Amino acid sequence: MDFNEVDEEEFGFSRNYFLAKELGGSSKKSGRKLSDINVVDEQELRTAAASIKPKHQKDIAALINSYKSLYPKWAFELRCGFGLLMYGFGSKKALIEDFASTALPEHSVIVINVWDKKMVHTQFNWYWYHVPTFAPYKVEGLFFPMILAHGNSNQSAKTAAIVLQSLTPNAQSVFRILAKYQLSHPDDEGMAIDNLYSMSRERFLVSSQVTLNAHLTEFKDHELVKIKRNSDGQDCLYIPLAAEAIEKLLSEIN
Amino acid sequence: MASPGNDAPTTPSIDDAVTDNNLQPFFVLQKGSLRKSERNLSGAVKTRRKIDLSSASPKASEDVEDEREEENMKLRMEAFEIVWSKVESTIKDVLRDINTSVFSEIQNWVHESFNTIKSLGTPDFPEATQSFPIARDASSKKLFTGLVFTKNMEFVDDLLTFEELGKHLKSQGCHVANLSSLDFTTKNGIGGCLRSLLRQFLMSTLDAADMSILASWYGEQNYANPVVVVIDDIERCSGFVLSDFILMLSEWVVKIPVILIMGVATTLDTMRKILPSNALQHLCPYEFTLGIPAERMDAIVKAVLLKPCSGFTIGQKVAVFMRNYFVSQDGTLTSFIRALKIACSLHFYMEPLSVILRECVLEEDNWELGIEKNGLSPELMLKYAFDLPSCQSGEMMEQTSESLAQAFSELKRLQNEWRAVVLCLHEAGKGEKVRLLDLYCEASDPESYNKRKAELDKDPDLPPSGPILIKGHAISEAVRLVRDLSTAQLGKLISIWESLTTGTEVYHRVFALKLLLKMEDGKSSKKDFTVTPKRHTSRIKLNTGKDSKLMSDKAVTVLECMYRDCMQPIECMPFHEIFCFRDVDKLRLALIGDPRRRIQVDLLEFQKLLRCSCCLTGSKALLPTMHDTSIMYNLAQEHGDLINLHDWYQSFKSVVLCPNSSKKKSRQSLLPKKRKEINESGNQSEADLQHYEMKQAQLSLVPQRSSQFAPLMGVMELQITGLIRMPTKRRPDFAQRVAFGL
Repeated sequence: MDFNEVDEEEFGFSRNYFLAKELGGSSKKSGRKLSDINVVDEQELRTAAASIKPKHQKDIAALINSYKSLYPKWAFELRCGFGLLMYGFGSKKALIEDFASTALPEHSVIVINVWDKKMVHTQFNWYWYHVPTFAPYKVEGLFFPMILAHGNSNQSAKTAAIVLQSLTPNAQSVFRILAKYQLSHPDDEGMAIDNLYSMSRERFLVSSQVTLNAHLTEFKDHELVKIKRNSDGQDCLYIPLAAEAIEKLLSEIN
Repeated sequence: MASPGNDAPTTPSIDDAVTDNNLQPFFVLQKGSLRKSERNLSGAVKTRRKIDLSSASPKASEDVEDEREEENMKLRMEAFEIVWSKVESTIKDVLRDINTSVFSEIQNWVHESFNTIKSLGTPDFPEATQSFPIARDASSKKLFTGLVFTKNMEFVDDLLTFEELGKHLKSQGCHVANLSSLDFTTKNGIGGCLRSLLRQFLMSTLDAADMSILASWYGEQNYANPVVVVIDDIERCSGFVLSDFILMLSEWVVKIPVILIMGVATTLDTMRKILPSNALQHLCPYEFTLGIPAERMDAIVKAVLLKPCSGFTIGQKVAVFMRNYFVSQDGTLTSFIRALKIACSLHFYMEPLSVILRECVLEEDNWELGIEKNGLSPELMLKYAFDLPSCQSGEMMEQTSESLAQAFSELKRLQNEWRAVVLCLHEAGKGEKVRLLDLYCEASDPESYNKRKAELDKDPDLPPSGPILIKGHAISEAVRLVRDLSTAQLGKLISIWESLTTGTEVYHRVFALKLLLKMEDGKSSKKDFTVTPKRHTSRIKLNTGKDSKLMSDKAVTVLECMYRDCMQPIECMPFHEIFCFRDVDKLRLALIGDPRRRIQVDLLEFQKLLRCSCCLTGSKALLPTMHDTSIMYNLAQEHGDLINLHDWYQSFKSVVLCPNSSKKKSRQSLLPKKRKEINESGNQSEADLQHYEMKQAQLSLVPQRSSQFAPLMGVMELQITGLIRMPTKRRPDFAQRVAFGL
């Protein structure tokens, strides 16, 4: 890497930083609301966004193709006992899977779709590679909420369905009880945990409070379920989605 | 708003991208086949074909080339495995040796403590068979506790030490269990620790965690040997659980004489901070101290890089980088060793002749180049070797395998001389914290060697101290320290030098120095005997001081001569590329990475990577043809910590929809005047426009549709890459920038 170039870049960035700070005040004052732009259903947004023909398709393909020459090197590093940590802009999913199937034909390959960024550096023998691809984050993006969608802080029905499908049938059934309760009691503040437990137990979905808690933790982790205290001081569960979204979700997990 | 989805049946679904596999937490992409044997078979077939088709079409010769490359790569991989396993085992041995004295100290203490506990009496039969602890006086509830100070905040280096300590004590007849701080979490509670003990002592996976099980097991062992529980890092343990654990063990100590050994990274105060007084009062502490990381580092550098080990070595820039990485990064040997391994793997990948090192390890001191042993074609190997840059600069050599073997043996000889002098310097500066890695960095500097050589070429009579020593550097510090030594200290040092230089050319100089010292020593003792009562005692002292000064001056001169004549760094020797890794930039990138900065540079300078013809390289203007996320990120640079999503969205639109504006600097897109114009257009018409664009997008009719959706995808991609955070409930109209600057 050309170090002079870096210096220039750094200079550019620090200029931008101060500029940004300077504008910071005025940008905070900018009172424009997101709702000034029409917000639409997230599912529709995603469908429409996926239909955009990506720019630079050929150039991106050429860039990704250029990494094929590195495959033997990556295989070499793996055999040396390193883990490859690839970074740079763009989805690397297709690239890595292509590498695994073409350069490691003798080995078993397991793909782990990790959805969070928890990574303990010291526990891995990482070997870093800068591999920008500029490929769209299609699959990765499914697990991120989109702005400009209705209720952008909530999970969309689609994302919720994806998460639910990865859970056990019992967990799905517990979620179904909660969802149906919420639909049939639109004015309630939520479903009491005890109530959910007894209903789940009756249907042999959980054998103990511990099992239910395990499911609830999973739901909470993925923001499928939230907890609030109702007027009686009781902890209640609710799904942070609109009634239509819940119905759609139920039909999808059926 | 009408749902456009209904009237757009041809719209591709995102499900195209989402196969079932992608929704699973994990999936098997492919199963390993038994293709290795198949491959070997096909390899044999291919080889035959290689012979048959050697003069056939260019495609076939390409195949042959590929196969040769593949074969060579396989050999290099094997060579790497042999070399690295040698380096790794050397490191392990070194660390074990360093710990030997502390380990035996601990072992003695364990046995003494065990005898003390036993002297309190062993439980009789009825007591032993009861399933509860025996209550005696307070002294019978004392737990002998060895606190091992690691002097290392990063516990990762000490994991191996405690594992080795456990093994050592086991070999001495103790029952040992190693617990880690992970066993002492509030989540698992004391049950977690107990289950771990049962698993390690009884090899049992019982769910019931009960001390009485452990007590009856120990009873079966006839109370013959101490039970040692090693906890590697108490600073990371939950004080609550650890305290419960101590209280429980203290209750049972008569039945199970547990001796605790705990790793402490900081100071004794830690114990008081972590544990409540009721737990502390049961501990009977003894302190032990491990070697500091810098000492261990010196020992590793000595064994791996300065003693004949694997033949693999690192150049000066790499050494300097690794030293700085060790000092400024996390100061752990683990990271240093990882850096060395990456350097080694890079070397074997990049250097075709590195296969030679395989023989170097296997034959150790007797290594001599045998071209045929390396599975390489001799012609190719010779051609490659004599084409190396280091071979171009020197005298012309005959390109034969004999001359290559001779050159290698000369390289080996020069390296041995160099190593011996570095080790002599290290011995001289050892007590005063002159670090071996510092000496290595200075002594392997090709520039300073070339400068020295040029000065000597100009003036061969230059005194040895002339051009060589730079004040404040490790080498000159080591030399200075020799000057201050007494005759007795000098005698010791010279004896060590003698053993370090055995077998090298500098040995005779050290030996001559030793003889001289002996002679001087003889003279001065004679002088002592012939001292007349008239002579003043201070005069004698003065003379002795003078003699010692004279001797140390001579030692310094010898050391300086050694430095001047024998310190040719490997990078100044022909064929060094085969043995020495020098590409510091590649190492830095592989070791540290730079994701946060690089990902920003990727977005801001995407033209350099994509090399497209439509976007101007080097232009600061934002063009509609540019990558959407790149446009979004460029625009984000103009905002503060918080980015107003509405403004951001509008700026994007102005770039994509109004190509004219691209001629302006992107910053101008946010000028107040422009904002005002947008405002004046009113919300209603804005909404209409959005709706229209949405329709267009659904019908996939016009390119402008991207102005609607692309920024959304762009924001999401920036979020995935960790450059921005989503709006919060409190500030729903603003995204937050995470990364500022590079």
